[in-house]
Amino acid sequence: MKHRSPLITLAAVALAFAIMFIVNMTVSPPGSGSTGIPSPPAAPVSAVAVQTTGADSTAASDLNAGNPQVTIDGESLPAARVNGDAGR
Amino acid sequence: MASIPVPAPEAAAAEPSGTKIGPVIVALAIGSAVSIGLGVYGRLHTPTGYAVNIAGFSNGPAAKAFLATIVIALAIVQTVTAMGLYGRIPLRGSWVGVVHRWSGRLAVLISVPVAVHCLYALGFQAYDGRVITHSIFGCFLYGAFVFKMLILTRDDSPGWALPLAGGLVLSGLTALWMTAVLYFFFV
Repeated sequence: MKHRSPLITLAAVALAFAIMFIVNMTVSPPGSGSTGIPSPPAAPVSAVAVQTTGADSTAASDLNAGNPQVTIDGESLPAARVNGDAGR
Repeated sequence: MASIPVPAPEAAAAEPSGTKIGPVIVALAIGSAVSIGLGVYGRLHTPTGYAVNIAGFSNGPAAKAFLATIVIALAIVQTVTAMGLYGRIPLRGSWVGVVHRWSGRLAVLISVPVAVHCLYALGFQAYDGRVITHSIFGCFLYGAFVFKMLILTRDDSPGWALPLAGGLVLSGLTALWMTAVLYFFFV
């Protein structure tokens, strides 16, 4: 006598495998996964920020003429000189 | 005892005459082919490094560990009910066979997302002992499962064939769990 029930189980498992593979191949974009493998980090934001001046933006304080690393408000600007400043 | 309905394969186990070894060898060959096929696919397929996330889990390894733990719990239910069906422990009633069959079906279906995640995203890896053991037993498990399902289709298999197949499935599953979930939780 042959039993069909295990073959149905086998077919169901094969179908489940097929569905899972198809779903993985068609739906999941790279980077949305969860394998535990860290995704490559996103590209760093450029260090040169673009500042837009809108109506609600605050203008930067003027520099102290005698000491250009300090604003007229007394705020220290600990920026290092860049190449273009070297000869000044 | 005759009033207790037991699955036909278990009845065959108690009836050694008229058994055939040929179908067992065929089932073993098909199961082996499945295992080898999975291994070859896992090795040749370039791991994508990603797979569909399973809702409700923080990450893939956590989901796989949780699902695999459910599977091994169901495998323990399988073992206990199988012992009842073979009269090794005092479990009586038609519910034993029903629980045995449905716990097995549920276990293998729950294991599918885990297996596909492993095969598709990670592939067959061999970069250390734990990983290659896990890869080998992952392929082995589904071959053993196919072997068992094919054995179950016949009443004329030798009495040792079905317990052997069930034991192979349980061994494979235990090895998989120990090389992945145990590692995930405790290492």
